[in-house]
Amino acid sequence: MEIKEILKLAIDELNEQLEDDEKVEFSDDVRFIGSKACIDSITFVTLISIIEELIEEKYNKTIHLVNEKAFSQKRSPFYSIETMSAYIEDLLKE
Amino acid sequence: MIDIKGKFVNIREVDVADAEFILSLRCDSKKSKYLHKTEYNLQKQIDYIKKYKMSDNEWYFIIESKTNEPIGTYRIYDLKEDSFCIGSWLMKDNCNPFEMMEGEYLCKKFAFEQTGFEKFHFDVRKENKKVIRYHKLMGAKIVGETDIDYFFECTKEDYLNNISKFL
Repeated sequence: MEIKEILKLAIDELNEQLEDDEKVEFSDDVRFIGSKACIDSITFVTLISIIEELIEEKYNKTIHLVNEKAFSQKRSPFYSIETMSAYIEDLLKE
Repeated sequence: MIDIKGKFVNIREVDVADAEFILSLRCDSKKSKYLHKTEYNLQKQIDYIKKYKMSDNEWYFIIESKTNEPIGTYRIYDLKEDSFCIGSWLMKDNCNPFEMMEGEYLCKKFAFEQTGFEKFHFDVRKENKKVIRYHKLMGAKIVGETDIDYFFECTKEDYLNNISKFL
């Protein structure tokens, strides 16, 4: 399963827990962090935990998305679906 | 004077000069949806802070960005035999998740060190589902409830194990 598909599943699962006016669109334009973020800080933490659970389930591999590598990058890997997908692929290769 | 530096935020004790900032958070209709109603009265807030400064069994923190801008509040109070209560956790809209998590972490870490306690407690409105989910992710467990509130407890060990995945 491709990482983007996992991110889609994660957003679907997150949306099940959100109110109608908070639901997140699966789109390259969506921002998860920064001034244009479509989710608040608490929801971001939930999303990260859902993604980690799905990765463990689908890839049988435990990864922590929030780590030194994430903080050391110029642009946050959590910025968009594209950056998050590339970042997770990198982590899975390690 | 308490002034603790973190990676993403700093925390310090509240001052009367913070009264307006606190009211801006507590009187925000969205943020205060699940809080006790606060009247927008600057003098009352100043008096509250002055009273707090005379007390010796609670801590009221201002969470600041690394550029020293106030971005949140947090309170440790209701010290029981082996547990402290957390509350008044409000953050500005534009804060990022790491500022939010580290701000809370630094306040709890301070409280664990000061009290020597191994757990904390708090209550959350049942309707406040996002906050309930966050605290459960951080290891908190429901230990009681009323029609409108859940009562939670969390051990230091569970909290530190879970927050370490994010900070």
